[in-house]
Amino acid sequence: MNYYVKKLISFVITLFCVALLSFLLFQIVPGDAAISQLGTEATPEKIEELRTEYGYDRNVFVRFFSWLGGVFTGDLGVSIKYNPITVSELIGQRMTVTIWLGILSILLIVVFSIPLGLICAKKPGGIVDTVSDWLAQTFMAIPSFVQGILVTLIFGLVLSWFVPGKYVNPTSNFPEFLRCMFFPALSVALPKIAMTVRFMKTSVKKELKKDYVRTAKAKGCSQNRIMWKHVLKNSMLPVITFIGLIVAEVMAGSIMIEKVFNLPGLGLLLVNSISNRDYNVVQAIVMYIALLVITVNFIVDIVYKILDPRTAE
Amino acid sequence: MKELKYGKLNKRLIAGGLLLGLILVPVVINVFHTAYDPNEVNYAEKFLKPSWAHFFGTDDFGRDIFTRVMMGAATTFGIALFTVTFGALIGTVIGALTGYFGGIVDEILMRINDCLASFPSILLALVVVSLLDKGTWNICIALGIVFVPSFARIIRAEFLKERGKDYVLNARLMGAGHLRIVFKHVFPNTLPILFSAVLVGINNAVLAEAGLSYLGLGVQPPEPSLGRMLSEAKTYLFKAPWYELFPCLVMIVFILGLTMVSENFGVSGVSLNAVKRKIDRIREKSGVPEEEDTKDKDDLSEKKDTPIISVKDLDVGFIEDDGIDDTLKGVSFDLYKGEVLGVVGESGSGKSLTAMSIMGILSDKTVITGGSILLDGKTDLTKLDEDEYRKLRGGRLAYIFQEPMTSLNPVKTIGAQIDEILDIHASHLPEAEQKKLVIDSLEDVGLPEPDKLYNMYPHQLSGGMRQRVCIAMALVAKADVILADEPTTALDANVADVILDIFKHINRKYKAAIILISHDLRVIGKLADRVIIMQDGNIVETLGVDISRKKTEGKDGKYSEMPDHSFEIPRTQYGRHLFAAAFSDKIYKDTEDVDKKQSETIVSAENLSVFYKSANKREKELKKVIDNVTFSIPAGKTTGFVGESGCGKSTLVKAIAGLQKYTEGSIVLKGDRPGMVFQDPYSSLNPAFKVRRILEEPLRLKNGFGRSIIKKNREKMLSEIKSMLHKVELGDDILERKVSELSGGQRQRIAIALALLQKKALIILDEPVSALDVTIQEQILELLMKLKKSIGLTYILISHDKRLVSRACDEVYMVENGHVTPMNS
Repeated sequence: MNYYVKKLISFVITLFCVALLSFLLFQIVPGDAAISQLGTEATPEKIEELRTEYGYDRNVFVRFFSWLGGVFTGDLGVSIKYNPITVSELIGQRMTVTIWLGILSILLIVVFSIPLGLICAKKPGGIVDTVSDWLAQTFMAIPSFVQGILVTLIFGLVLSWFVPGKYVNPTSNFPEFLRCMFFPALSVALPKIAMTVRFMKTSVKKELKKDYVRTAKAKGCSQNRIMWKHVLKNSMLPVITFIGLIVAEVMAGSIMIEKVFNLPGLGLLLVNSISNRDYNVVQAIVMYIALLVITVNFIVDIVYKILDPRTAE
Repeated sequence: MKELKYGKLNKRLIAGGLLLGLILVPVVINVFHTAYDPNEVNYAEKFLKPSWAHFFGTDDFGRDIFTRVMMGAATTFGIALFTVTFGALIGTVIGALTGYFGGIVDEILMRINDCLASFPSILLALVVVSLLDKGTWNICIALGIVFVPSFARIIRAEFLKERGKDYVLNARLMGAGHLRIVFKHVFPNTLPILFSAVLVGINNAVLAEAGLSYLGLGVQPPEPSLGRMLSEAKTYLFKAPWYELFPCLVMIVFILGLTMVSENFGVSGVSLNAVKRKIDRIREKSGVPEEEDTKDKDDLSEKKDTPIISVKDLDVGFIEDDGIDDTLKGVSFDLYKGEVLGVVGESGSGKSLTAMSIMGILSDKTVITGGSILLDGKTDLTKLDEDEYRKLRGGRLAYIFQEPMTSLNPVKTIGAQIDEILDIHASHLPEAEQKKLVIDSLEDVGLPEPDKLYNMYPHQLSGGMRQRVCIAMALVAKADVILADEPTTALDANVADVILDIFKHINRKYKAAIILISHDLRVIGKLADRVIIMQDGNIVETLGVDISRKKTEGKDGKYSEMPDHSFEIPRTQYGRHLFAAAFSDKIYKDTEDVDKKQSETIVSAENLSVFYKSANKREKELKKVIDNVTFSIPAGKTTGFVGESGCGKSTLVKAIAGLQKYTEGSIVLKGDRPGMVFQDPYSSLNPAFKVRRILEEPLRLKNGFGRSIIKKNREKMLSEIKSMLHKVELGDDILERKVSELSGGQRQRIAIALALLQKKALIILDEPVSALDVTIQEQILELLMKLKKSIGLTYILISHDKRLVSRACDEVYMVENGHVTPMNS
């Protein structure tokens, strides 16, 4: 069977399992949403009424499939907290914010880590390597929200390069929107840059030990030529996959950072919805974040396949 | 080199340990004794700066921050410890069982694992916490659940790697049960990885606790935790920066310490494993075989006018921590135009090092400390600057490496890789002309369809073809010195012969001088005009061709009859030794008591077919490796199976040993399961054990392995083991050593002792000597035959080496394309 077909099937299976998991998790909530929403006003009749309205009286499988259908059509019912606002209305715009935050973070990760990793691997033990190693270790040891606070403090309050808490709607002024997103993205990216630099360094160092490098040297290639023409592509291949894996971490980071910078994204909504026990919204956000992660990984796997001649057809 | 690395890492370990101590000691003291009540509110002392009374100052309620940080750290570390223990325990059991047994359960669990990996871990923890409600215990459970998959994944990967190793097969042959193998044999080997995974896990748990607290879902007030303090303090960043600073510092120092300690054990927070697994999957689905890791080679490195290369008193040293360790000591020889010079020696004798010195591609840790290498009698290569040298490399000097499978860049086409040499050395050639030269060179080494080959990638070529591509690289630049370092060792016998023919061809056609390095005198005998014998970094002697000796007899009648070479008789002891071993005709079969045991059969196979299930899970079909064969193996003799690699001979004997799941037809074994001695003594003995423990295992299995029984039997076991060590000609002092400290020959002796301790009557020898140096090979063969006679053993010997099999076996079967045919010699 064709690789892409296989990959697509496995993508669909994973998607299905993830959906099932996201759905089932919220079936074990102690006391359902209807009760928690009514609070002290709960009378048996009122509860029953609400349960019917939310569809809780239906069979769990029927509910799962209608919910799964809703994930794609956008019809995920109403928010329990902000009834009658629908879940998709709540999520809609915020998704754009989170996706852009993710894209900018990944861009920053790639732009910083790959050259830095190369330089570190080229001169292990050199100044750049030592300094970046210590910086990387320190950044990996600080919780991401603290890094967000530090970025606000340094770039926002001391250097005044941006206005903390300022947010511009992407539809009204897109360039300004991106400017507002830059420092949050940097905060998300910092710990991941640290990880990726180290990964890139390990990858390059591993490649440098391989036999083909010795062959290249024996051919008369200069150090630079070996780096650029032979090692770079080989060592980039695992990094591509690594960045795919890091997407999940970037999403996790953005949940924190959106709260630090007060950005109206999925993360902030998620945290608020958890506090409000608005499980319809929580469930939908969990699903969409997972969906983002698997989709990116699906794309990354295909890109890898095309770039690596050993797997390309 | 190992020690050098070790010493450096230990420094980091100590530094990391100190950092951890710096945090943990006050934290522990604080649990028992605190100077202030951490929760006592005192508005009068609000926001005091750090002082001797309050090391870290006070917070918005006037509480002592030092006390609170220490209390908070205890809570945070406690949560981390609990969650990681929880995750590691469950994860290890799941990972061990699924990794070892595989199958459908493994498949399902890995799928679930993949799904869980699509949720950012903090998201999963958030959801669990939100479902369970807040509170310290609930955070523990939530984070614990989140950690299970990652531990399961790490341990599974280790078990998957270990389960195919020969020591596991060995344990099965001994009769150890699966659970015993999982927990007693394999598990100890995964401990280093597990340990560092635990450290990385603690690191992640500390950060996760902080994250949850920040989102208001962690530890609830007034109980302090590092995470809660960090998020509470952010409001007072300007007013009381110390409030934020100190909890943050404590966390950073703690995690830095952890990282430094965990790196010492080989795993960093960066998961290479997960990446490798994904890439393997992509390859698997595209039908590309898994790439084998490039093995670390032990090998440290390697007419009558002016010699083209003249090496004089060359000293090469290896940089150690405390100075330079001499590896080549005063090596001198000449290479003339058009000559083939053989260099022979055992591994570590310095033959590759010599060649790499000429080529100027020594590793950074290796330096030339004396002597000269003259090119054309005038240019001293040791004094050449890097740019000049580069012009020679790949130009006049060409190097051909041992491993054709890994010597080419996997992501560049064959054409581009040869082309590169012309780019560097013959610039300004028109592109079309350059391409023609490349294709000509491919044709010259006998590769079919060079036009098509030009655009192909290395993985699409066989090992023999790749080695030809490497030779073509030497041709395209018209190199006049070719250094061939074990060019045929990695190849099958018939392919190796073709490669040697190509060398002969280019030597004649282009008059290129060739230095042919090999551990195998027989390879060198086929090609070389002269041979240099090396030992321990010295040249022992140089032998030229003795034309008169070609068919005449030598003094001791052994190597003289060889048609394989025409070298002079070696004069030194070592040289004679090497020649005797390489060209030995010593026959090990018994000729006398053939009739006595003729009738008895120990193994008989009838219409036996053996199938191989590919490790690739998606390939459901079984591959037929052995096709309907019938044979019987007589007791008390040596029966050989000979064939090239991949012919199915190993699969066949594993079926005899009962280690193959998928067979058809019948195998009848008289008596016990056979014992086995594997080719690679590095993987057939459990690396986690000492020699004593390895040899005790069969006795423990026999006598029972309860603690009291082992204690009672200790003396008896020890004496039994000692007498067995004596039989395999090893001293008692070896008992307390680890496998990694033994030489190849010693390991193989232990492997033999292991089989004998099980009182096996039938022993399968799977390439028992091919990983050993020639001189050691003969010693092991000698020992095997002596034991066979004295104990009355039956051997099944498998080898790719026809000569060896015909010397050692009473009966020989040829294995080819899944068929087995008796060979009459």
